[in-house]
Amino acid sequence: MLFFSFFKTLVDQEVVVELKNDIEIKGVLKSVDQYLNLKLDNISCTNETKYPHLTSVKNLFIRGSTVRYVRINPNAVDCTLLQDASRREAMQAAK
Amino acid sequence: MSETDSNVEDLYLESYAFTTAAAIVGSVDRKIFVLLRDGRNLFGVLRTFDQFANLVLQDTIERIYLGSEGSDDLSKPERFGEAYRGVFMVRGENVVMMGEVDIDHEDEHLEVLSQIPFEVAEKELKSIHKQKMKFEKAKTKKLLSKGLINDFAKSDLY
Amino acid sequence: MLPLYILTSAKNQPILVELKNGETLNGLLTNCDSWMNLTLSEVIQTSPNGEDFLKIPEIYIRGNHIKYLRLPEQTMDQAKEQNLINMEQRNKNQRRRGNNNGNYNNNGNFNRRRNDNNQSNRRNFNNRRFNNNNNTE
Repeated sequence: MLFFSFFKTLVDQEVVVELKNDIEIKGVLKSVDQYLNLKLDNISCTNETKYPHLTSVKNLFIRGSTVRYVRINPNAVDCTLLQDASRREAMQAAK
Repeated sequence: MSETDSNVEDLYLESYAFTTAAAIVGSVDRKIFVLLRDGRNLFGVLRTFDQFANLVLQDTIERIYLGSEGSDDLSKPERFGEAYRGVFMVRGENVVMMGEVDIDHEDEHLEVLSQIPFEVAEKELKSIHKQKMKFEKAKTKKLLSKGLINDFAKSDLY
Repeated sequence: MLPLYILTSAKNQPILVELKNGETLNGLLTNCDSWMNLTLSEVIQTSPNGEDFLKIPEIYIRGNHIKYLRLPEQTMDQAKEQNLINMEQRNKNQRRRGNNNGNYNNNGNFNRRRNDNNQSNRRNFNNRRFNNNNNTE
């Protein structure tokens, strides 16, 4: 739940998603769900052109299980808030 | 009366905004592409879906992109092969990504590629996959002997 | 109309199932359930490398093993017809019993668009919608 809420705070931010097959996709995060599936708008492939048809694609739905990294702008993240939230989650889990 | 209806609908939309279904519903009756975990590229009209992201596509074509003749480098496609598939129902867990295709520009990237018969493309892709499996198997063995794990799944060829 | 509904309406039709391991099964769909478990009859099983074949009179497939299914072209139209007939029946019964009060969200079916005539501001105006009756090309 924590990362689901975290991603919700990142909606409308530009992110770069790196998939497990090394493909990187830059886009604006539009939606996320409980499985951390991502919906990106205005996408562009930043490294390879393994998928040439992506040039005519504007929106992408990416299955969470295929994501390796999500690169975020550091200014978009409030680390102290994250730390507090993690602490709360850990305490809840310990109960 | 219509105002209260739309207010309630907005509430529903807000609470459903962050769900799998909400992310997909906008693509219904549009042409989309789907990348499957086994590396297949499907292009079709999304007719229906459910909360697991199971998809039903109509008028689907399957396309295989290949590099130049003799190379097994899939990252710089030069050729492609197409096959018409009809109605496709894809189980959600096999989807890597899907997106709406802009039909005004969808064939632009094909103009610089040469088309080859689908069966030929399929055969070549199969042999490329076979080689990859061999390579990854050897890699896994080698890394394991050093105490490291190679994150490779047999079914993930995308 | 959910995918599983369309699958149910495809009973007794020929169907092609590809499993996660690449095996394909061609046969008639006899039954299916909400987990996508299927039973097929008169099945031809093809190995992943496309070389070995087996003829099986009846087979049960566990839903979580399926990669995808290919259905005959007329499945969509048939399913839509069935759906229309069922809806008409339902409306008739509803009218007889008196309409549901406060039915805000169309039986909670998120699939169906509520205002078919209005363009929701989520939609991209440049993208065209494909009507079931028209060809996509």
